[in-house]
Amino acid sequence: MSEPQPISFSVPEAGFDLTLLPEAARERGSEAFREAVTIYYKDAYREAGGRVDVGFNDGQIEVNWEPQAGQIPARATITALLESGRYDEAIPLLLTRLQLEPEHVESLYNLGMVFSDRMQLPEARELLSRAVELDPGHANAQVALGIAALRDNDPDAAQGPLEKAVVLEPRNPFALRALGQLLMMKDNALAALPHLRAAATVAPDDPINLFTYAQGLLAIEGESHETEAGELFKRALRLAPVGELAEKIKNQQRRLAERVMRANAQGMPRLDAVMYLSSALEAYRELDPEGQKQLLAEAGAVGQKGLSINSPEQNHHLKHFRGGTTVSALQVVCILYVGIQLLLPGQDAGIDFAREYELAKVMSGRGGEEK
Amino acid sequence: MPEPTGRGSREFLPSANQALSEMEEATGKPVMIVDAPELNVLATIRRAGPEDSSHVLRIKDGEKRAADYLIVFQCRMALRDGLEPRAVLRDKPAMREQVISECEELHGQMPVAKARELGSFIYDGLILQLRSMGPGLLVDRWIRQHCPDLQEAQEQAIASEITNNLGALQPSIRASYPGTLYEASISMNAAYARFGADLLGKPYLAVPYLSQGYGDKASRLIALALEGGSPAKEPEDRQIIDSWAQELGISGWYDWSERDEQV
Repeated sequence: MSEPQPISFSVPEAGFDLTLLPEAARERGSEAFREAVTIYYKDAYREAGGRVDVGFNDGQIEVNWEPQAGQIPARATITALLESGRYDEAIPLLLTRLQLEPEHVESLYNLGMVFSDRMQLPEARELLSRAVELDPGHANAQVALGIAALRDNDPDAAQGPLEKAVVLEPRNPFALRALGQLLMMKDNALAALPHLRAAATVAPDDPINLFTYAQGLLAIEGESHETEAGELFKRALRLAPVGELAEKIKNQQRRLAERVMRANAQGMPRLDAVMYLSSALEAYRELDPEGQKQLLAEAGAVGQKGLSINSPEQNHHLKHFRGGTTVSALQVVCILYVGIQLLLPGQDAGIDFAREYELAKVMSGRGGEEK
Repeated sequence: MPEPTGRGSREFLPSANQALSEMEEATGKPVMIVDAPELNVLATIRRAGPEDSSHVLRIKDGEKRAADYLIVFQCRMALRDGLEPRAVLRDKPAMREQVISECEELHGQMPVAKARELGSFIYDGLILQLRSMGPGLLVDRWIRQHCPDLQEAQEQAIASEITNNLGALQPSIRASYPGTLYEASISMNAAYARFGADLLGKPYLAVPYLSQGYGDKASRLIALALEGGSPAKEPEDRQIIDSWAQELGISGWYDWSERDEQV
């Protein structure tokens, strides 16, 4: 990177652009004018560092900037700060840039994104609105504006920018995904699906989109997309194996499994589940409180990895279940379910075995007795 | 007489070698590189005509690292309009005479011959600036995108050019130039500064012009150069130059001829 060179130039006071100054400082030659001009140039070079001298002589403004050796150019600095999430340091630089050039679209966009990420949504929406007003073809700014509106619980305002973004860049995965999510929020899965499918094609490694796409498939009434949705959940979980999204995926996987199970049982209680729940109740009964906790923890840990309860081939070994036993995925879920009912009542088990559990309690002689 | 340095007298960066090879392959004639300290611009290229054995690329200081950047810049400029003879900007004697006469009026105390020489000089300067600055933006953008080995040299050359151009803002220069011509020239400098500031990520380079209200005009000129073509094809030089001239109010100041003699 080459060292910046000093800059010296003259501007006639009569030639200075008054719109850059506060209204109260627009009388050329006045003290307020000179003060405001000085502040303007100092601000203009602030992000580049170094020293600025502003002088007034014979109707001329003399400006001299001496750079400080070894400084990184401002845009590189801003980009680096944004990329590393150092928003506190990036914000003053972006504000300075906008003071210098109020219509600098990239700075409006970047600052809008930062404010949106920080949930300062009115400010974000104002900046991003200005960015798209100045450059309606800036697809990313349209997406960011739509997302800021979505975050601000204003889906109606989000739709226009997101639709424009998709028209501008039909293969922009963020635009496609955000529009798909918006339509899902509006309970219009049918309209959302083409966008989510297109996003999955251009960005096959985006777990959020795969997850949303799967949800879209499951939301379509009267159609059966469980297998495709299940595959999408699996792919999404492989891409995001831990974290908040992973938990959401697992939860949806359990609900999907339950949905499939119910469909297979044609709405009747599943007898295999009743048997496993009954067996689990007996197993817990045989254990002391510490052993019960250990069994619940073990089943929970196995469940964390994702269970295919409709697949009889999937087996797991539980060392705390009846002295160490290999069981099916459905059985693990039943052990988990019973453990939660006994030890953590009220907590969501992620699957609804209420009818089966009532029958199991009767079978194991605990009907009407909860503890 | 300038000394020819040819190729091989020093080692060039890969992008420079490639640009020279492409020029030679496209035209079937070699490029002779000449040190030319007498130039009042950084570099020029003269494309070989049918009777010439080689193209001549003159560089003000061929030993500096900026030479690699200038080689690529000039070769790409020379090939911008394909292999057909390049359209050439010609002076318009009546306009030259008008500028000369305005200079005589402005410099009444100066000997007439000197004033005429000055008028001719600044008219030629404007036409050269108009010829190269707009199309040059496209070439500089291309270099930035495709020649990572030239980043530093390009940055240095552009920043240096922008800084040198600031001299034209001095009151004494402003007073020496006929008004329309001065405005046109400064507006082009503003466009170059704004473009360079954005390209290099150094917004401060454009401050002198932005503070004088040249920002909008600069943006319009940049857009005419960078966005004037179709998605499939960049605008041709002639299209850029004519649109710039119209924006600058100097449309009738030159003529076009079809033969390439000097860039």
